[in-house]
Amino acid sequence: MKHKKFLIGSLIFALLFLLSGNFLFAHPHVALESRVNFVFESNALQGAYIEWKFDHFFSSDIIFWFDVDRNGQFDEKESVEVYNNAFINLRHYYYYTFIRQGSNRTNPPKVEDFRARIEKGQMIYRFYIDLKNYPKGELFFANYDYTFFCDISYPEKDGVTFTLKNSTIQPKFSIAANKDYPVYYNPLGAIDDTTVYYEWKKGLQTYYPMEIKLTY
Amino acid sequence: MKIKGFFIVFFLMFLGFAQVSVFGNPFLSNPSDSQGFESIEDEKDVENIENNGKSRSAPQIRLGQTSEKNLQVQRSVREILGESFYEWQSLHRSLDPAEKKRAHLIFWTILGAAFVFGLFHALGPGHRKTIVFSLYISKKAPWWEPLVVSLSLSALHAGSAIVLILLLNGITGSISAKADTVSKWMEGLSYLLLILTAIFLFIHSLIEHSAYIKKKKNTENASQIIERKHLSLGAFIFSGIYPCPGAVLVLVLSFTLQVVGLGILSVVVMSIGMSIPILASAYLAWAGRESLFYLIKEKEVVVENLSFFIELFGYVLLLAFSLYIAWPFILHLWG
Repeated sequence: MKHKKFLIGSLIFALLFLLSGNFLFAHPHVALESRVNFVFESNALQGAYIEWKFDHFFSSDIIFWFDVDRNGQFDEKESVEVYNNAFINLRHYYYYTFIRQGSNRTNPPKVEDFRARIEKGQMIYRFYIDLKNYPKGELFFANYDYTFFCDISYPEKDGVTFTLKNSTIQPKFSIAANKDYPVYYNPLGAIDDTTVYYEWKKGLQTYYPMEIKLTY
Repeated sequence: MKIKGFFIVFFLMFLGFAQVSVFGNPFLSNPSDSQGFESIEDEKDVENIENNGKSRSAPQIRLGQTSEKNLQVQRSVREILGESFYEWQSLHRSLDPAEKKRAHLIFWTILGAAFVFGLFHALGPGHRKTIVFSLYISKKAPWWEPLVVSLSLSALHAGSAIVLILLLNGITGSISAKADTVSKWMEGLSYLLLILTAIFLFIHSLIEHSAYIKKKKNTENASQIIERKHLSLGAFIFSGIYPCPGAVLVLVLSFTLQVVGLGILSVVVMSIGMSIPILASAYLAWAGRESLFYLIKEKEVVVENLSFFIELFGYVLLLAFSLYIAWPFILHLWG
């Protein structure tokens, strides 16, 4: 009887596996931690400095490539080479940066003050995004890769910080998955299909980004 | 000897392709693409706009969103593995007994983390879980066969990453980008091979079954009926020859830190970890099939017909899954 139960159990497990569709998971090739420092001046949001700390694997590859003098740090010239060869192509991917106010969704047209550096074998990118033109109020800011090549997370400690210049305001933030304004992606798209969809169409799959909700 | 030669030509072809092909990593610029580039002289004035353009890259198979829990585990294991490689590199040549002891501890941490990384990495796509499941649902096999096939698949998957990285040794530029390009092409082509194999096996089964039925009708003595033959596993095992992206990451790190030996050892351990999900799905299918036939073993006609239909179902599953996964790759080749 026990034997029979085991056999039926095996059969049920096999059927469950078949129906589970567990093969749909992706494994990202690059992992990075994103820290955001919002800059306020005279009680108005000016912009944000973004810092991306990469995993040791991608870091070591790029460091090996561009730290030409092997001194364990990128000098200004090497940083420009990193920008030209291992960063600027992200303009095709909206710099992995998505901004929303209400239902209005935008992406930064450019980034400024890019600098690459190395800390304990890990590569860090720092750059600035201008947010001056966004009206005061609630702003949702997110770094994510909807093509699943890159796993982007916000560190639990000091993931979001503020720089307040001549300001009396007390900005607040929270991080949560956006269930009301998801983005959609084409699972049939090649890696160079950088299209991001804000409205569902047939064949698209849903992605719920983790957003930083900034209130000031 | 012929097979060895074929593998070498196969790899060299893709290596050559990696040199001229565009990258599969979104961070990396294509050499011909100069928009938005900075020079030190005019870096303040740069307008790196036009972010909705299209970059060209290697075709890839279908992707989907990973569960956050799986990502968290992979993230922390990657971090442990990365940090441990750096620490081991700085300690392993030390003559200080305390540092030697620490290096020894880190060595085992690396191997443990590599095993866990392999295990969770293989829960992702492209590790032949559904392929072996289809295979052992469709065919009767001795108990040891899923073990041998699963271990062979994971060994080939990791082994081809080792061969690739050793061949890329000395090439300028990003090693991981080149390895990525080669991997994407080989993975796509391996699914095309599986599609062709599934179609072939499906037709072969139909033909063989109808010949068997014909023979059965013409033979009065049941003992004279020849058993249906099963095809070799060559195509399935061959489809495992494409570099594992997880193993490539570990090898690139070990290569840049000049601890290639430890990198290769880690990848071997990683492949043992990777074999567990593959083994689990192979034995799930094998046990499911065995259970089903054990439960109905008294009913010979049902067993015979069910065996045939399950075999066909396995090949249809293999075909449908391979087509589903390879569809973006096929579309890319088409247009």
